[in-house]
Amino acid sequence: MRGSIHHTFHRLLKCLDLRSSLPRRTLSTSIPLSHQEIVIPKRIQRSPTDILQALASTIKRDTSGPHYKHHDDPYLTPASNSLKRMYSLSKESGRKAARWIRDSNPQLFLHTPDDPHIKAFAPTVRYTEDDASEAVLRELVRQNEVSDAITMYRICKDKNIDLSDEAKQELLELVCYSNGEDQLEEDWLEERWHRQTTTTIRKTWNDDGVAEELFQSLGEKKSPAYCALIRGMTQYYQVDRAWQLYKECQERELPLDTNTYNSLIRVSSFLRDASDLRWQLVKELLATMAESGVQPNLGTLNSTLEALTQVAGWREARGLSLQVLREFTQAGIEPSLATYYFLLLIHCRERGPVSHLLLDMLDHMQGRAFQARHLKDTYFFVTAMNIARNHIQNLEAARHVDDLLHTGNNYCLIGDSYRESVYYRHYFALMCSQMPIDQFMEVYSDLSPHIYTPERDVMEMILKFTTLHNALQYIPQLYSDMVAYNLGNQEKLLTLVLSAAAQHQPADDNIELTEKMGRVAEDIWTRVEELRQDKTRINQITWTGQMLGDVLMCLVVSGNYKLCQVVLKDATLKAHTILGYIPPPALRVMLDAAIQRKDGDTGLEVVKYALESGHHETGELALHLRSSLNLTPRQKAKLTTALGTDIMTEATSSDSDSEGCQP
Amino acid sequence: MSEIWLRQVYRGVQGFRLHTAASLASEINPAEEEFRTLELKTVRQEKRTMRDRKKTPILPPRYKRQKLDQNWGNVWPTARTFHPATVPFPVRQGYPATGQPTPDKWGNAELMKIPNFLHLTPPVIKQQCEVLKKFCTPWPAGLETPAKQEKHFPATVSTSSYLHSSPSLRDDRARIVTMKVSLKSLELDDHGRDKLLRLVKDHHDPKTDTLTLVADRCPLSTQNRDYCTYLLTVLYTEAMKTEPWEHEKNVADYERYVWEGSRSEAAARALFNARDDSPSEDVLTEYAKVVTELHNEGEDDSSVSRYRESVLKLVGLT
Repeated sequence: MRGSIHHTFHRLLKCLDLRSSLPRRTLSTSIPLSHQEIVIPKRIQRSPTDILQALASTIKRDTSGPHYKHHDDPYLTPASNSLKRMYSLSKESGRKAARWIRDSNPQLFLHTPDDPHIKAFAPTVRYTEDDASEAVLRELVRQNEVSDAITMYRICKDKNIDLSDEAKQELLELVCYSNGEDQLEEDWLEERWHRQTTTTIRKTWNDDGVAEELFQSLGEKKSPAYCALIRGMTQYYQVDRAWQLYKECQERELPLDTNTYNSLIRVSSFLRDASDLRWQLVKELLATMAESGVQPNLGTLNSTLEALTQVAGWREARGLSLQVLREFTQAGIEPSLATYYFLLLIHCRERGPVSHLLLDMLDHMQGRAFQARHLKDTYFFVTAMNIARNHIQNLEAARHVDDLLHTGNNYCLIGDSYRESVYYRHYFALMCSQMPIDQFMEVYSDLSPHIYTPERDVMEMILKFTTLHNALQYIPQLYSDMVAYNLGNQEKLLTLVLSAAAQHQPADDNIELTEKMGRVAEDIWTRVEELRQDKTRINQITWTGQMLGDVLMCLVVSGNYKLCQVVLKDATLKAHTILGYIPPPALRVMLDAAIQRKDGDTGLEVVKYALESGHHETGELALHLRSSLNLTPRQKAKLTTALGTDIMTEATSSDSDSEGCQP
Repeated sequence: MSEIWLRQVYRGVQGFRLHTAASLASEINPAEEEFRTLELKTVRQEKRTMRDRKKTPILPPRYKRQKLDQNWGNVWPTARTFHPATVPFPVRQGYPATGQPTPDKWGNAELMKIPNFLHLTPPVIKQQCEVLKKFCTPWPAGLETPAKQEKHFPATVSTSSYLHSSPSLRDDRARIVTMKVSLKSLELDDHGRDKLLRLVKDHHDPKTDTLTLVADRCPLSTQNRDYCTYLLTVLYTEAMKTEPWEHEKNVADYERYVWEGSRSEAAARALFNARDDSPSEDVLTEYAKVVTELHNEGEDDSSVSRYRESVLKLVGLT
């Protein structure tokens, strides 16, 4: 090569090293190329999903449509709670079926085009007896397969395969954590979401399980084994044995770690009976922790407060809880939602004095985004809303709680579907009772049915309040919602709807509403009749006289006379299946309608029904009929047979009293 | 076994179909026994009535619940097949049948087949850009105009990455690297440029004066990139060198027509000599320019007319 590379080209090569037109993975550095310094800024590091997360943060839940897990189609959108549950669980059962097929036919899934290999797509490896070894056991423990690991352990023991202490420790930890039972896999989100866990606290620790066996088989029982076992036992409320183990540790002067102390503090109320003794025990444990130099963490704070909730009736409890919170905050431990939950439980007790702690708490927490840091974080929002409704009946507080729920990612901490529905149940009940009805109906139409479907009691409350505030224009919408939410066969609700509909006064400016009410009554009548035909139903709906009366009133007012006749005929024929009798005002309205249409026969039917029901106003009705219409001789004859000849000669009820009442 | 015993057996066993049984039976009571029809297929006499399935009440379509001032980005967050119940406005598409209006949005396959951009309305784009700004660094100072960019960064390297909706990440085409360099920035002299162009041939685009090198021979894109750099280095160094045999370049090898020393010059000068005139330099230079243009750029009306003018001037007919 002749001479050195030309200066320009050297520069060109340098700039090729520095930059490409598309972003590369390596950092680009800046170098001054010429007199003018061109500084290229460093690339902003981002993880593989940062951009997706940023884009996702622009999207919020839209209440006009169903949750994104359901198909967005009018025919496939679930409206009622049972449908929502059914659809999401059935979708998940499809996924489970697919997984089952994959795992039972691994020979069909040998083709793996995925590069790099995706373990989650491959069939789960099933080990057989011949594969028994320590490595396999450890692998099973790592994959969180509890029952498989225990079986493998037993096989290893049978085959006299030596297991190292580490393997045994790992297995011990797994068994203690899960109590020897398989846990629901994390993949089954819908099942976890719809799972309803019982909240009764009772001993569920498997005494005859592998845990104790493993523990005994460990050569030298060191601190980690004790920690695992104590924690497991306290988790499943085998408190006595846990305490025994703790005492052993004390004697042998073995150090325990923070979370073990936390678990003991949590169950201290099962070890002592009197409130002050329980607190004393907690203090002792905390003192022991401090002596051993074990650093407290968030779990310590929450366990202490949980212990105090067990003695919440004690008069010292409230003061102590605040003291505890102060000390721990000073020690640098930031409280989580569970801390606030326990504080609410201690201060805002059902049968205790009213405490407005919630308001102060919400002021402090406003606008903060929380993460899940403790198991009981998911209890906070439900409890807060419960207290806002039942304890302090404060709508502002409820609003603040709701705002907090919708800040950042806090909605993830609502827990499961049951807690979500309870949360909204309290919210709706509070809003219903305190907000003006129009505002409430706005919120109602926004949140239901897709965020929250009201249950029967909430619906009842809403209907009652709507009737109370005379906001009858919402009744048709509430009724159609009721039917959509699978509450259309609840007698109580139907009664309320009908009584509200019957209260409606027709006027010139609400013709549409009158029509709608008529349609509501018609729909109720048809549907209930259909349901009554079906004798296989367990909960049979019985008509009451009041309901039928309301139906008649609505139908008359909306002008559906034909159906009125049908209803009346039905009531007369099946009087033995109806509870009570159609009340006189309804009969009066019906009679007026019949008179208006010059329908003497129907009028007579009305009078006959009134007679059979034994109403006092029968005579009045008969007189009214006779005086308003020119009855045919036949009709007159019928009337006479029913009420006697006096009815013909009697003066109208405006002159005389109701003495023409002769059964 | 006696025949009587057999008869007892056959009569006792219910529904026992044997020819012997039949014949025995027919022997005993031929009048009572009716002619049995042969049933090859068993037809179920009564259809089991399906239990009436509870009709789930259907909610009204979604667009009825949508408010006028809703946030559309929340309703249609991702690319989605058109769904008439969710889209709140009336839209028609398709060829109408005779006498019918254009088909509306309900059950309209045409609307469902085409890609819609309902997930990228201008407000949504704006919002997304706002959110992505935090990942962007500012444009470097001093590189505002294309000229400046060309000056400081004359070479461009392009790679493409590919995303598949499949479990595998790999795509062979991601290894291809394209490098584009403008020859102006290489600052070659005539000889260098000529030599480079001869080496490079098709890779040079005369319109934009860029050299394009595409490398795909190595499995990794970084390797291909290095190869491109190497190739450029080699081409440049070779262009700068002058081989001893290059002096053998003769007129036939010239890439451009050079008037000086050509037959055209000789002919023009001979013309002047024949007229015993001293050649006027302006006319000659103009003639040279025009002839060079004709040879190098090709003939078209304007260049031929210029040649005509020039020749007339040369000959002295103007």
